[in-house]
Amino acid sequence: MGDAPVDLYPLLSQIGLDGIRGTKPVIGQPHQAAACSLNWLIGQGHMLVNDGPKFLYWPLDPGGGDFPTYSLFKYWIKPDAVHPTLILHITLRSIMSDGSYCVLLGSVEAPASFGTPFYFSAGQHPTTVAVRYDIAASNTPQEFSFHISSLGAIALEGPRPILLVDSIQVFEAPQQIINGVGVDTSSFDSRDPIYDGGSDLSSIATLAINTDVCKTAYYRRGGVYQNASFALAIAQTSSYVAAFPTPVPIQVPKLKNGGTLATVNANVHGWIGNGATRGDCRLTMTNGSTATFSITAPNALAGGGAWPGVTGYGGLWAGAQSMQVEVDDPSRWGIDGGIQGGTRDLCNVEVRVIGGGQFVLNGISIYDIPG
Amino acid sequence: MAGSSLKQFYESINPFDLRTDMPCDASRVWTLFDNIKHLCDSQPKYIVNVAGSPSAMQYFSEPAVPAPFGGWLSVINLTFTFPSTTLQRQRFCNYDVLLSASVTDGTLNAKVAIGNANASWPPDGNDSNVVGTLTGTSSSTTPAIVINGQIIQFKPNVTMTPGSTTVQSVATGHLGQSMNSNLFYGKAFVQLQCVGGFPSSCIRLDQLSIREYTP
Repeated sequence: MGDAPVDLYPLLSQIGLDGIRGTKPVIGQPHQAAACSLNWLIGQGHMLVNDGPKFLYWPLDPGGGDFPTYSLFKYWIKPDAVHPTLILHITLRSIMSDGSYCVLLGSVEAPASFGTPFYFSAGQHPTTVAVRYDIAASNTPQEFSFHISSLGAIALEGPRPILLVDSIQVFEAPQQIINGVGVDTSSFDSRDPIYDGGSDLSSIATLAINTDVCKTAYYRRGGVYQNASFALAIAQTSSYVAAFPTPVPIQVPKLKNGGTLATVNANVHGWIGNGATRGDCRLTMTNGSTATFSITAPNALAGGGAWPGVTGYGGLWAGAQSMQVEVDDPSRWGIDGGIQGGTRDLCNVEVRVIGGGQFVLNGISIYDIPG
Repeated sequence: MAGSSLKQFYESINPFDLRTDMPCDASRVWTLFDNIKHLCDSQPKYIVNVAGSPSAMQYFSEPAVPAPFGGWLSVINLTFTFPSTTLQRQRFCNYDVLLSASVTDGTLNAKVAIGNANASWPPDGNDSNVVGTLTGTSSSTTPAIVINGQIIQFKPNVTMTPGSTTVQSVATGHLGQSMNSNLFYGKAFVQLQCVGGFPSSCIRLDQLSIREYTP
């Protein structure tokens, strides 16, 4: 299967529906416009991470104390198979106003190179940093991780917040050429024959096939809830307790007639320590769907079960599971943005630890399933 | 979307009904094109979706300063960037906002603004790059605010300039021109402002969700 072009300005390529009548001749223009628009849609990519505010903590003496000397963020993502480049946007600033604190984005924990690390000063005004990140185009679920580290001495007393991260976004960079999917727009020129061509990107049948592919892959929402940082929540009891004061709303696109629910996937990252035998994280939707994740791995980098040392950041992903969430209600678009029954489907996050000790939750990833 | 049939959108089109050796059925072709229009006009996403965490999201207002009319002023400012496919097509676009925040003393003002990548900080109503704002205020007796389901509607006539955004200028050397030439960024601003409380008043952001959609 060959390449398909992505038009830069698909809004100029209007898909005319008026001329499509049973008694009218088939003309190439609306077919070509439809193919162009479909390619544009596939070329856009997904927003994979949509994380929010974080504090970053560092010790007085880098290399000493009980806190890591860097902040590590781990997300579980599922990209689509046509976008080989991810863009990481981090908006952050110092709590202090003198701008003397620097951070480094590096590739230490990343599965592939981040490119050239760079440095900047963060003052009170937020700075948005963008980093290109190349992967092998694939729809295989995978970890996406990065560091933010302190470079210089920090003249503050004891562990305390230094940097405020406003937001972390990861999204697939739009493609101008898509490979293996899409439609060859030149096959719809006027006077060209309409022919079966499911294997060569042409024909109106291929247009229909790719429309369905869009619904199952490229129309999906990508990351719907991504939350990661060191010790999001710590469980110290054997009964479930809420990890956060409030639940989080999750709603995904409606893709077919009938039903109010759709399947998303979720994964949880964490570690146990101080004698704990298992840590559990339970996600419960308002609609009743649940998924429970268990972590039995001690913090390997901290001597098998203690709190993490200054360079330690252990833990594992529990493994992805599916759960059901509500879909858009098109009859309520103009009322509340399409919320089923006017009541949001909320995800409650709870944690517990078995065997004493602690369970430290480092990340929750819930994603609509592109690809 | 004018002319759209959602029922038809949610039904698949059998590509074998569109083969050369089949009679040309205009309704199937119409439905197919209508599906594609609907897909392109309404690719939704969450810009941000977080729930409050005691260790990460409470009490990070900037240092309080004397307020003009007594008391103290402290602020939380947050910025989010996102690739807006709907902005690219200059379609109508809506943002479903869920925001919960509270303050220990004083009055809490909340503002959520959506703009393109050239929008300035803090969000200014006179900035043509800011395309929609949403505000709320707590009462002095109930120092908490909830914005739930209020919708910012983005009008489609905002001038967008590809390839020359502030975000991209920061990323010089990291983003190739060929990659961003068809990429428009949007920005979302969230401002929580405590007025009239004590200097030790604390603002807490409990929940924030901004969902972009275009029905």
